Amino acid sequence: MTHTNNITPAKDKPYWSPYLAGFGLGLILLASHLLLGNGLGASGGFGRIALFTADQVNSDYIDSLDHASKIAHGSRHVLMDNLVFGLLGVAIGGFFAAISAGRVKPFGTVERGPTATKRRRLLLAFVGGLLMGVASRIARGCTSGQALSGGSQLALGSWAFMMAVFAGGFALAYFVRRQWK
Amino acid sequence: MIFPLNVLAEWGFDATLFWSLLIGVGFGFMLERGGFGSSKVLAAIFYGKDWRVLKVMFSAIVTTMLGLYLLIGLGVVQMDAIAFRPTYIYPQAIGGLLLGFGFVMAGYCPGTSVVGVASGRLDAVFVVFGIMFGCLGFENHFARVQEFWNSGSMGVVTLHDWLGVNPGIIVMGVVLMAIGAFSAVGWFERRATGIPFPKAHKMAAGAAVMAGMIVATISFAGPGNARALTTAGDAQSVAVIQPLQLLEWAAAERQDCLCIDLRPEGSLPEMPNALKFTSEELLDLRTRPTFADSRKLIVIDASGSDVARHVAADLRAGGASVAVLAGGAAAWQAQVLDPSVTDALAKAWQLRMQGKSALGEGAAPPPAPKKKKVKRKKRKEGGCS
Repeated sequence: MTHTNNITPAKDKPYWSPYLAGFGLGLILLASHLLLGNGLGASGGFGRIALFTADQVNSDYIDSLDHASKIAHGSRHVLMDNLVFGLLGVAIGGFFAAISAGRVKPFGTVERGPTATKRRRLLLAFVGGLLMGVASRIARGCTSGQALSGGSQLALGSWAFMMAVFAGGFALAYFVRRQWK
Repeated sequence: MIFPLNVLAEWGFDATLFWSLLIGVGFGFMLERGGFGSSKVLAAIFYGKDWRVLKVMFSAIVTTMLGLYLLIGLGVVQMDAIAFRPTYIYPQAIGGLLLGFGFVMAGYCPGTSVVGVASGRLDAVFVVFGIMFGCLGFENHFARVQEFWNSGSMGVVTLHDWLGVNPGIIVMGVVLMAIGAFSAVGWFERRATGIPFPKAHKMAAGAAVMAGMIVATISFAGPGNARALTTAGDAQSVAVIQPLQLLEWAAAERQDCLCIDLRPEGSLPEMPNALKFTSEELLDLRTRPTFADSRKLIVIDASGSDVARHVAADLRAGGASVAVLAGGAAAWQAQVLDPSVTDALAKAWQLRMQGKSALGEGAAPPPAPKKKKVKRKKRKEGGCS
C-alpha cells in the first residue's frame, strides 16, 4: 500500500486508497459501537477540554452557567470522558500515521494557496473553527459524531445533518476560494 | 504509583476510557492515511477537485452500517445496547449548515483538525482554538439558544422508521447510493485521463452489494430485532388526557396511574403521584427505567409539547399504556390550581393540597420503578415477515 519511493526520497508517501482508508475507518467505528455501545465523536471532547480550561481560569463563571456547570462540575471529572480520551487517541494515532509516512511538516507550516497570505489563511481557519464549535454544539455533534456515527446508524437527524454540511460547504466555497489560490 | 497514573485513577480512569483511547488511535490513524491531515485535501471536495472526503466517508458509513445491521439482524446485538443518535431536526439541519460553512472556511472539521495538528500544521492549531472558543460561546449563550436546541425533537428515529420500511431496504439503498456516487465521481475523474476503473474497485463494489443483499435478507427474515423506533406519526397519535380528567383520577386516588414529569425545575408538588425524568433519560434506551407494572403513564411537560408526545410514543412502543397531559403543567395550573377556578373538584383539590403542605407532608412518594434495561419486543406492524 505504502511503497518506498527511492528516486525522490524527500517526497511524502502516497495516501492510502480512499476506499481502503474508509473501510478501515468503518471497522474502527464498528468496533466502537460494539465495545462502547456508542459511535465516535470529536467536538464533544473539544467542548469538555474548553470547559475544563475555562473552569481553571474562572470557576465562578462556569458555575453561573446552567448547562456548562452540569458538564464541568458533574459527578465525574470533566476530562474523564470517552470523548476526551477518544480525541487524545486521534492525536496519537494521527501523529503515528503521519510520522511513519514521512508526512509531519515542520511545526508552523501553514497550508495555503501559492498566492494566499498566511494571515488570510489563519484568520479563516480560526473563524471557521469558531463557527464549527458553535455549530457542533447546536447539532449535538460534528462530522464524526453525527455524520459518520449517526449516519452509519441510519439516524434520520444525522442524515439531515450530513446533507446540510455538504450544502453549507458547497454554498460558501466560492467566497473563500482565495485562500487556496 | 507514578504521578499521572495516580491522578488518572483518582479522577476515575477506567477500562472504557482505555478502549476509547485505543479506538481514537485507530480513528486518527485511518483519518491520516485517508489524507485528512491536510486541509487542502479536505477542502478540495467543495471545489470538485478531489472527492477523497466523499469516498472515505461513505466507505466508512457503508462498512459500519453493514456490520451493525448484520449483527442486529442476527440478534447478536440488541438495538437497545447502542446509543442511537436522537433526532432534533431543526438544530441538526441548521447546525449542519453552519458546520459546513465553518468546514470550508477552516479546511478542517473538528476531528480532522486534530490530525492536522498532529501533522504539524499551524492552520489546524488555529482551527482547534476556534472550535474551543466556539464551544464556550455556545455554553455562554446556552440560555438563549436552549429553546431552539430542543426544538424539532422526534426521539430516536432511523431512516427506516421514518419511511416505515424494513431496515434491509435502507441498508441496500445506502450501499447502492454509495456505489452510484463513487462511480459518478470516478467517471468524472477518469474522463480526462481515460484510465479505466481498476479491477479491485469493481470487486469491492461487487462485495459491498453482496454484503448488502445478505444483510437485507437477514434483516427481513433473521431472528434479530431491528424493531422500528418511534416515528413522527406515532407521536401525533398519542392519547391525551385533559387536566380535569386527570384531576378526577387523582381525587379518586387511583393507584393505577403514574405521572411522569419532564420539567427540569419548578415542579409543582401538587402534581399527583409524580416521578421526575428528563426527556433525554427517557428517550435514551440505556437510561430508561422499566415501567413493568400495568400502570397508565401520564407524561407531563410545561405545555404538552411535541417532546412530551415523543416521549409518550416511545414509552408506548415499549409496551406501556401512555397519555400526554393536554396543555401540560400550564393547563394543570390554569384549570386546577388557579384560585379563580369554579370547578368543585378543583376547589377541593386545592384545599387538600393546602392541608398537605400545612401538615408538611408532600404527596406520598410512589414506588420507584426498577432502573433496568427494558427488552422490547415490538416490531413495526407489517414491516418484518
